[in-house]
Amino acid sequence: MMLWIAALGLSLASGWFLARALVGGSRLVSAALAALFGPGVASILYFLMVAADASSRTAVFAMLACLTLVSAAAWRKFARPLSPAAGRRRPPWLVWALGLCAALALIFVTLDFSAASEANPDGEWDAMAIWNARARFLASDAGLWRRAVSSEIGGRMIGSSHPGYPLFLSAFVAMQWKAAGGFDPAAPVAASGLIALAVYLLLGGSLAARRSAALGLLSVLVLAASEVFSSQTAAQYSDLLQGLAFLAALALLDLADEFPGPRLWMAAGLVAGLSAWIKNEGLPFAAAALLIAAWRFRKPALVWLACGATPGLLATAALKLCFAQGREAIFPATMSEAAAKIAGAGRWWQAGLGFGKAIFDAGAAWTHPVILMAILALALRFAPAAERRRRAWLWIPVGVTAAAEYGTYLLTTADLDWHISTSVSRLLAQLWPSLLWLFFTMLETPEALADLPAPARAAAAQAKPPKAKAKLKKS
Amino acid sequence: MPPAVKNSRSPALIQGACLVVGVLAIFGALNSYQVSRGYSAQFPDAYGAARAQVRFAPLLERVPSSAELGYFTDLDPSQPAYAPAFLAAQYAVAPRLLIDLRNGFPPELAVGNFSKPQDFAAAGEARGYSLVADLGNGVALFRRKTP
Repeated sequence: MMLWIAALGLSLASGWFLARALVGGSRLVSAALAALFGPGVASILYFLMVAADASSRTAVFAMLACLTLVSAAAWRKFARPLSPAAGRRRPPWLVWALGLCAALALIFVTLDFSAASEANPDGEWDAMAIWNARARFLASDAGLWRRAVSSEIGGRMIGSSHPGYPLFLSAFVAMQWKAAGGFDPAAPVAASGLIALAVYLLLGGSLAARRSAALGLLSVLVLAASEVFSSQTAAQYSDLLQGLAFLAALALLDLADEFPGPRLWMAAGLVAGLSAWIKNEGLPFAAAALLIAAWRFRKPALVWLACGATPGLLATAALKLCFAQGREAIFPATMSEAAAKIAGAGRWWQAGLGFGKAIFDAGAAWTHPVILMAILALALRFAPAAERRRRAWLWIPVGVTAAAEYGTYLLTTADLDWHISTSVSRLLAQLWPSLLWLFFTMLETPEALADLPAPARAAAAQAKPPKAKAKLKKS
Repeated sequence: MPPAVKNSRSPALIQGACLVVGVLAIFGALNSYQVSRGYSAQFPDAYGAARAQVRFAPLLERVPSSAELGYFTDLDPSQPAYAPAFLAAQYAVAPRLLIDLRNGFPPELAVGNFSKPQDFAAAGEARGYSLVADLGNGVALFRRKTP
């Protein structure tokens, strides 16, 4: 049992060093990014080992040790603070009170996760049918990994046979199982918990660092009240991981816009590439995020964005073009079939209604996250238009992804009712943290409105962006 | 300290709204937990993965991990129980690969996954397989009769 924990620990350590080297700044944000960077890069390297028929327990630990050493060396060489150093100030009472509320809410989230994991330690339907099943093949010996990308997987059933689905989560879990020498169900449970925790940390931490501690805590509270998200934490699906990658990309693009430089461009590229390696929904997001970043940051950023995105995009392309057998059964085989489906007006309405229902079901009555957001919008109001416009471009990758998900419903060859009812809440769970982040970046901060002292670091970062930008450009 | 935003609203109202959201969110998280606890108590092992791992455990000792196994069952593919039964079985026996006998050439070995007691040998005979072992819990191992 200890061996999969050691593998998990090493991959997180490598992610931590990578996050500190590329992003720096808030330690909460680095801790969250560690759960994306380390497992992401490790899963790609593990897939390479498996494809070369070179996977073994020794090889896994050697790979993880090398990855951790290289990441630590990069951290030693490149790490430096992004925001101007500033002394810590005692947070106002409101932040303490919201912190207490967030701690209580997160206790219930943890109990929720624990109850669901105890009842279904192997995860929910798709975990058993797709993600963990493929991990079992990838953790096996002698070329049996090819069964994970075989057209036979899932009994060729339309909802379960996805040979071309990206392999981030499956390869990450398989790597831990390979290290342990068995299929311990605790490994995917731990991965699922870590990913959910990372989303909370990244949402709250990035808003606290960029805007204010109170906004960061409020965002964590609204996410904790979002049943659409909580219900997925123990599912062991790739959807929350996809949500983490979407959120990380937005946070890093926003940071790179404020503090442009090669490290942040590379970090944003890495996250965009990894989002394609998680699920098919990550492909349109990665394309939109990279294109919008290239437009926003112009020529100097292109090479760094491409360098960062290469591992995830190459692994995804190799999987889909060289290894996966058969085609995705839910898409039409011919253009005329696709056109006929798109022309069906009822499908447009049905898909829209599906998304609407998922938002309606996102929480319970008076604690519904949309109601909580409305209360905050009324009380805090939105930031001035110029401030909101500065971040408007960040909506584009999210909008493109939502449109692609909507388009999938228009095109699906599966029964549309079935397809919507089994997937729309998961699609919303992917986008939900990013939508919350975008919403909270548009609000005024409670500290400024209530004349409370803002945390020193966020205040300094907000007060002096031009100087910070100039300093980084010089260096 | 950054300059406070010009604000016509009472600071107490703003702080009160934030606290209301905080308290409501706690109840929201509590509600999610109650829903999850109720569902978990009502449907433990909702998808049958744990049950399948117990049922198929005797098979794992008899069949090499590289094997491709034919799969048949007494459940009709149109029944809602068919897909979860197949997927749970595949999960339990992986990395052995289950091939639905309707989908291709029958492998040397096959596994029967039965929902109720019946004549397993006759079920195998009907598909060109002879019974090798009744492994209990509705699981049986078969071998193809003709090479």
